[in-house]
Amino acid sequence: MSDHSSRRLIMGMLSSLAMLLILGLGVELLLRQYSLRQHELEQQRLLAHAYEVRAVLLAELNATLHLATGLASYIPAKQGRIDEAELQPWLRGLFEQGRHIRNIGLAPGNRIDFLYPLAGNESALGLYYPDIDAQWPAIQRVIASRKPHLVGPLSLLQGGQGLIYRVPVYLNDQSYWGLISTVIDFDQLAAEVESIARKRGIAVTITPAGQTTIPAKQDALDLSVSLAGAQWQLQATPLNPAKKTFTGLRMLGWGLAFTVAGLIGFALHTQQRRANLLLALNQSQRDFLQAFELAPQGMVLMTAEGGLLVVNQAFCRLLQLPPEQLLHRPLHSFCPPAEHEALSAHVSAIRPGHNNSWFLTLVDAQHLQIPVECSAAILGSLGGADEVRILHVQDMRERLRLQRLQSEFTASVSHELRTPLTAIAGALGLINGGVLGEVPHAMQQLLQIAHANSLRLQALIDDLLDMEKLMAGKIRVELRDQWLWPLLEEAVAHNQPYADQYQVLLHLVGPPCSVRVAVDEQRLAQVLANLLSNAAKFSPPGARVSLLVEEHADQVRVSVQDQGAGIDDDFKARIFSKFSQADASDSRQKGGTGLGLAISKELLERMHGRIGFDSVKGQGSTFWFELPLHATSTQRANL
Amino acid sequence: MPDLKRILHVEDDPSIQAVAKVALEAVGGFTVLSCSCGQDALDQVQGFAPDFILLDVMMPGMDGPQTLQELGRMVDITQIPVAFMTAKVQPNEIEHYRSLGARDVIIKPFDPMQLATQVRAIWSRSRG
Repeated sequence: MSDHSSRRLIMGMLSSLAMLLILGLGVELLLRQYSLRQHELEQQRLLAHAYEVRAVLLAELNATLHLATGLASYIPAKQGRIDEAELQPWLRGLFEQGRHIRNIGLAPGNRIDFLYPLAGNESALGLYYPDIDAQWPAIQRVIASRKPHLVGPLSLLQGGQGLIYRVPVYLNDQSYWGLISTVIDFDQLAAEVESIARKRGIAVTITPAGQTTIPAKQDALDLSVSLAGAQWQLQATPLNPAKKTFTGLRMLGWGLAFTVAGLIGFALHTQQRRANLLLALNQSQRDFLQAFELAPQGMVLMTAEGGLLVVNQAFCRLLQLPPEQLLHRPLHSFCPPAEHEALSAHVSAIRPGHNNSWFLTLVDAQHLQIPVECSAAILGSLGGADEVRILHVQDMRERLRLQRLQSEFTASVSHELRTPLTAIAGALGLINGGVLGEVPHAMQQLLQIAHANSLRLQALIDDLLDMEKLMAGKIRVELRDQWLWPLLEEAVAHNQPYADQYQVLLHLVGPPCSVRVAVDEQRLAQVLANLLSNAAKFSPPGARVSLLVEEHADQVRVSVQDQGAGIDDDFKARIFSKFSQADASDSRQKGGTGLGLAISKELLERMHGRIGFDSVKGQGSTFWFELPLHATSTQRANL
Repeated sequence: MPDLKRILHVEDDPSIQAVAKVALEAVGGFTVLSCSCGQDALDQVQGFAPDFILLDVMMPGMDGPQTLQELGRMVDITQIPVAFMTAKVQPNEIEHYRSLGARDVIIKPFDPMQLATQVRAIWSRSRG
């Protein structure tokens, strides 16, 4: 991965991480807001319930205190004289109405003389307040204030906690009569209030104001309760405080944050990749267009019909025309009219994966004809045009000039070699033929060697010239319908003297066939001479080379079977290539240029035939060629 | 039928000229006049009165076909057969030579031992 890509990847990851942190922070802020709101709602609810509980408490107490206050009005009305018989049912009613009253005591002259109910409170009867040091100062302040006063909760002698409501009673003459002391069962009252509070989901604690016995609790709410001179603090706390961790919400929020950050990161990454791809594509297109524009050969983009869309500098130079005179014109408008039809056929035949090459003549601005080779491929869509073709235009002038030079050179050198060789071989042939008289034996042997090698050199030059002519298309093969068998007989007869040098017998295997073929007689003889001489050369002395004919439905196969050593496997693939010899030393040992089979192959193909071979190492070889049968082959030959 | 005795051979290469002369004289028993160019042949054809003319194709100055055309103006080549000796033996080239009046073509390189036989065969065919 390149540094550039790594940096982009890291930037992408950092962006995603930053996005995650921002979203996470958002989640935490929302949770905090939500938590505060919940807390506020809880406080409001707690406050409402605490007010409600306080109201219940006050209502309960007030109801009781009013009863006691009413009793205090009764005594002045009786001028302080208490008739127990009259008071008894009245107190009973009072006691029954005041649900939390534990007892009511009347203390004329500060001594408790009358107590209702007496049962369970006997210990308090006869109690004289001034004797109670702990209570007397407070009682004195109540008497002095002339106002009822509520105190407590206090531990009662009878057990439990109680509130004591003391009402100083003054007679109509303003003289002090005594005290009415109503003991309220605080435990019961508190239990009832707490029960009501619990039903509302809160817990309450009532303590005298100023005491700090109740530890401050989180989420606790304190309300003051004032009644008849008593000051209490009512502390309310929620029974089931809401959990403030919000684990579920937090997980959900962070999960969403992760998901969103991931999605954004993925989207960014995808976008980045797309941008990179687009960048690479743009770069690739720029590179392509630059290479296209600066290519040393002519390059053209054209429509399926051959209309020029884009041309490069080399193409403009080739035709010596500016681009504006080339674009949007059909390619054939730059060709001679005789080639229009062929060009259209080539352009319409362009197919993907095919070898779409052809030769063409272009005409430049000076009306000069330029031979070119075109190679085309389908490029695809471009700029709104479908199936754009890309055309490579190769100026052939230089190549053709070099080919012509090479051809002329080969022809010239070969001709210049052949002329003196003809003279040498001819002269040696005449001497060896005894035309000029008897030659001494020792000299004759050397003259024969010289003659044989001059003939060999002649054959080599002939092969070179033939191959050059074949390649240059200069050899014209003129097919003529004729009987095959006489051509084979002639070939055997003509090549037997050569085979004699190797003590090999050429044998045309009968019976004679009645086959007509369309061949160039001279060129078929050349092929047969090549195959037969090869077979003779590579056969051991005393061997027989067979020439066989097999007639098939629409073709005839002629085989030359030798008894040589066979062909090496690694040589088989290149046996018909030019200058091929199984071993470099073969050309010296056996003679030949390595062109014979290549020439035979070319010649047979010109005669619409084909050549091949079958060979097993050590078991000889069979070279064969096949030619199409002529239509009149069914006629019997006059052989 | 008159016998084939005198052959005019036109060849610019002295070696080929010499070999052909020996081959035709020593093997075939003919009388040979060798000319090294077309003009030389034109100058000597009437004095030599050949029975057969052998012409090289590629020669400096006047080539074989041109020489043949000029010879045709000087002698009756329907009575004196003319054959080309050349390596240029494409079918179309042979057709061209025939159209100029040549009876046949002897392919170079030739076999000197067979040259006389080849010449005699052409001469015989031309006489029907």
